[in-house]
Amino acid sequence: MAMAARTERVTTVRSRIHGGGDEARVMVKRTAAVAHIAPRPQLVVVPRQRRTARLIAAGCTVVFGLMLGAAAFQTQLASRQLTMDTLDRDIRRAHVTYDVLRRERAELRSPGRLSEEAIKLGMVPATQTEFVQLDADLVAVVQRSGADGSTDVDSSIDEEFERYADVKAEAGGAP
Amino acid sequence: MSTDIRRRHAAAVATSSRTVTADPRTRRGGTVPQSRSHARREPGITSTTKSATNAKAAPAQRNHKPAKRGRQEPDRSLRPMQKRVKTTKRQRRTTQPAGISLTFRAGDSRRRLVAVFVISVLLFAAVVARVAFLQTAGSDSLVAAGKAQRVSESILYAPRGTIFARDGGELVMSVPSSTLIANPKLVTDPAGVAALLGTMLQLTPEKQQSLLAAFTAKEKSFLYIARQIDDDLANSVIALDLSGIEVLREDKRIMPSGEVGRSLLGRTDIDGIGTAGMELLYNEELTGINGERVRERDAEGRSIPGSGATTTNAVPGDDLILTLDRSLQFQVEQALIARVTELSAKGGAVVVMDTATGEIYAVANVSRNDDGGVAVTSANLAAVETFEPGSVAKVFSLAAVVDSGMATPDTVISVPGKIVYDRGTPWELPISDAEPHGTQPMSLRDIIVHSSNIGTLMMTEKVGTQAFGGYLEAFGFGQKTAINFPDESAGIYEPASEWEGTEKVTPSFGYHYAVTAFQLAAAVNTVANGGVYVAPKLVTATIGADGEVTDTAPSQSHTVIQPSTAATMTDMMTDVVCDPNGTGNDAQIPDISVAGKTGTAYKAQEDNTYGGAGNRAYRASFVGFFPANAPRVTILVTIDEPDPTSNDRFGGKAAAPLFATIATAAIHELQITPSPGDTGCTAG
Repeated sequence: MAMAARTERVTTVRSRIHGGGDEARVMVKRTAAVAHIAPRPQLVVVPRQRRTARLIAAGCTVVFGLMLGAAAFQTQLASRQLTMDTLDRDIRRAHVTYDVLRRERAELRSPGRLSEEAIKLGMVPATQTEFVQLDADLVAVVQRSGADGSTDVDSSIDEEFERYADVKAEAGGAP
Repeated sequence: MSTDIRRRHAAAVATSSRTVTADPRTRRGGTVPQSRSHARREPGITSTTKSATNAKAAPAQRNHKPAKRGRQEPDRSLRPMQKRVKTTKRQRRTTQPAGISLTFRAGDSRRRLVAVFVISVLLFAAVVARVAFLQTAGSDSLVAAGKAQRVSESILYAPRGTIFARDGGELVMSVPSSTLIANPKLVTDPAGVAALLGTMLQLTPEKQQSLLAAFTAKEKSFLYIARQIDDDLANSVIALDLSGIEVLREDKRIMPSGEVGRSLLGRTDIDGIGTAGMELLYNEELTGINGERVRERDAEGRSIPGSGATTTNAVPGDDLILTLDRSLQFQVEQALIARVTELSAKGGAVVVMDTATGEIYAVANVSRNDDGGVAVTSANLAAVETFEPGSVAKVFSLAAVVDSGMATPDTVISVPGKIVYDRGTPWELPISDAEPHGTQPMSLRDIIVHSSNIGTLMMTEKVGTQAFGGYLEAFGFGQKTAINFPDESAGIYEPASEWEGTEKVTPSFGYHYAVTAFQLAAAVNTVANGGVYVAPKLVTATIGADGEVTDTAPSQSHTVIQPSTAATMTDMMTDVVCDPNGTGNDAQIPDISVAGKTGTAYKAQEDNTYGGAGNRAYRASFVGFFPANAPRVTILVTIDEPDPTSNDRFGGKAAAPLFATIATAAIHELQITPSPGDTGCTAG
């Protein structure tokens, strides 16, 4: 039966009907026998090609891996971005805190406030100056005790400016 | 189709075959092949089948039946199909308008498909064209819209520089503050919100009314409600969650030390732009460069990962380190306020400067307000206000005399107590000394110690007008100081070549030219500095954006008088303070020698005179330096219009005591100690 089916080809042929002078064309289905049937080789079942499957599987794995990697990469990016945003906010907050603390410090050290506090403590402004001549031996004793007797205010002021300058250099233009 | 059905069809339509042949669609549509099949077997039936199926769907064609019938004959149905097609096409062309050809009938699917195809193609072409347009010529607006939706561009405001005192204390600084803003278009209850804000922020009725008008009009989308207010107050408003009300962070300029140095420091407007004083003078240095941050953000304001934010950091403004000593500045201001109040004076000014470098340690300006109180002024009167120096100017006159070799401290001349200058001329002017006396011999030292106007006049005439004028100019009069303070005055000074009549002599004792406090202090400082004029200086260093501390250039200087002349003048000026008959005894400081000169000048009245008895106004001054043998600090004190009826209206009484007070404070703050052998006015 199967062989018989293969020997016939269902073909659609277009024929022209000439009967009665009518030139109408119709499409009909005809079953025609194949003119020549070549001798067929003996067919055998070819073992299934597993190489293609492996390639496809490998490709899928690679694609999956790439997608997974991309997802992981994006996640890392998002995480880092979140961290950066948080750090930015922290920097801004720290900057504001720094300015507020500077303000409070300046206000606490302002001469007006110190004067008020001194008056509250019963102190009075100095109206006179009296210079006392120190005995040289006494000065020597003090210096031997470890005190350098230095009253170099300028050096401490310079250090203060340097500390401020360091902070400014690091964070002056921070966002 | 079966043969029975075909026959039934043939029988049903046989009688109407003539009407059907006129239908142009009998050979079209889906039934045509079938009909052709019939026609092959039973010629003439094909058309009848078509006409039966299309009879109802073609009323328009029925109207043409008479015309068709006229041409139809029984054998016509057997004509070749091609011919009939021609006939029907011609018929359609002649009987139907072009538009009617689009009329669709049931079963005419080919034309419908073609139409649908054409329409689809046209629509698709339109879409493609639109897409092409949007991708090319029209892409800019869409790109911009998309960018605007996700790209956030924020300005990074550069902080304005801080102004420091020389001791490291902040005099002016910027701190973050809150600013309340509104989007009137989003305010749902204009009246209620305006009233609420007015109450909470204690707005003026006018301000509240303007807010209400803006909220109601809804024309703007941005409006300041209150700028740079207290954070707690702003937070309390925001806590109400009012629609359209938001808070912004904005830098606010503050003076954490209170009013200390206010008149010198000046101010900025609310946008942080310098408008007066040092803020204006150094506005360019103090102002930074704003930065910008561009980032792509999501709907919740978070940065889109990997979108590549671009940040251009702001460059903060330079910081200024002034020469002012904050503590000394405070004490000077307080002492001046107290003294002006005590003297019922109109105001006063003090300048404290470093003798060698010209650095200003303190500059105070106070004046009496409309309410009678005395307070630090916003204007730096020491730089912008001029006054005739009076007897303080004798320092320059006698320095010129000594420096030109016309006299020595011991040179004695006969000095009358009163003279009339240029008698009988339009320039006639009676001149007298403050201390009444008859004609008496006076040395140069006596002249300055007793502050004799006539003696000074007589000595200075020896120098010559032009030479004397040259000395005054060398002392810095008639030109602005190197500070170049905003609105600083150059003083009032005419070149000596233009002096006429009494103008040739009155400058010798401090009239006919006016000076600023800065000019006068710097001029006297020339004597203290060994005869070298050193320009006043207000900024000692700057701190750049990179944290680098840069010292400013040393003050300009030039020699005015010889060092020996300066020493001689210092010696005589010390006598002014220490001599029991000197006018400046109240300027003495224990254990430290002081050199100085008093000055009491009549103030010019509105009628361009100096007034008469009982109608005088005075300017009392004292300028000195200490330690006299190794000067470190020069101080000028000038009191404007002390009580004219008081004996304290003179420079030696009104200003000299304040000099001593300020000098004492300077000794403490600047850690000044007397040089070896200096016992002050007490004989060692």
